[in-house]
Amino acid sequence: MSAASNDIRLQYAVPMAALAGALERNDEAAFYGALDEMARVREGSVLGEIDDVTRNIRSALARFCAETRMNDLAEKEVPDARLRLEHVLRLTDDAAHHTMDLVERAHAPAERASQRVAQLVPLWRAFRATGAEAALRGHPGLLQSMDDFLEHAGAEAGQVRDNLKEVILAQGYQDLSGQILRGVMKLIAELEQALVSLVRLSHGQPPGDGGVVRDRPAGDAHGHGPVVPRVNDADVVGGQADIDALLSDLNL
Amino acid sequence: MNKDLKFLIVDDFSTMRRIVKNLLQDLGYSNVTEADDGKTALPMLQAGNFDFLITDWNMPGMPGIDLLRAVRADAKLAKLPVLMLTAEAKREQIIEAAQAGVNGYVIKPFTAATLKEKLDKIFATLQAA
Repeated sequence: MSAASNDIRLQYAVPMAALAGALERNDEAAFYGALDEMARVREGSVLGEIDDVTRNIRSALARFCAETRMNDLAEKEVPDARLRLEHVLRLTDDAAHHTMDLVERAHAPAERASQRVAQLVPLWRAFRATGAEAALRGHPGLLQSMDDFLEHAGAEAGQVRDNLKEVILAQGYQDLSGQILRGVMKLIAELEQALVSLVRLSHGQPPGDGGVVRDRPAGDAHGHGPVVPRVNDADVVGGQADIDALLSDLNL
Repeated sequence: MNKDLKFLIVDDFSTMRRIVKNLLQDLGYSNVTEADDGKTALPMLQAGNFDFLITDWNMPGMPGIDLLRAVRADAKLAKLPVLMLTAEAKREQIIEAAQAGVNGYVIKPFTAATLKEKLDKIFATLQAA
């Protein structure tokens, strides 16, 4: 604020004298005219102060944006961070589907091998009962090896099937980690819009809210995603057993 | 249980839809259709003679809890069995789902045995009713 605009004598001496004169003369019209003039002077000085404050904020903001790499962050680095996470999401999605492709392809040959063993068992038993030892004389290890193979092959094929099923189930990590990533990406998008608005303000442009992410409020109805230790682990169940107990209390 | 039952799996992650589809096929259920959120699922349910709904909770568009409520509010679908398969673990949410009329609630990550157990339990309850 300048010294001149601060000098009340300069600003108010003339309207004050007019006001005093009008009061002296009991001139109502002149009195209110002088009062209005004083109010105008006062209003002008308030607006001037607001102008000063606005200019100061803008220049502080411009300095802040220039000095803190705010432009780079808003225009490049934060959007890049979002794209990087999107890429991670795509990579894990592709990897999970690729794993499941391979598992599904392994399933059919494993199933066929298991069926062939099952078909072979009665044939081998019949052969064993009707002179296998005489027929395979000279191949002493073969009988024992075939017995062992047929005894265990069925159970081992079952283990392979069970493990393949577990590999499919394990791909659920992609859904769980993906939900957490999407939450972080949403946050980054909001941050990006806030930074862009700040940079626009520093350039004397209106912040604009067309692009601001006004996302759904976080709450139970829309879901919180998987529990993240030390982030949202308050009032959550410990696992399926807790849920079953809770539902059983509710007669479900 | 009738193996021709028609299932709808609703989840925004294609990985999870595929996992559940695989598990259902292992259990002998091969009539399985997929949708990626409640908004897509609801018209499919209204048009499609589905026998069973398995839905996630946290999805863009219409979340699973709203889909459940929409199903219960639709005279044609009101009795459709609904299993919630979700990572949502807050006590209030589980109670909310129960009050909205869910038939079962399975928390992710889950096992094949848990899914089978909950399906069997729902079928047994429905048969007894």
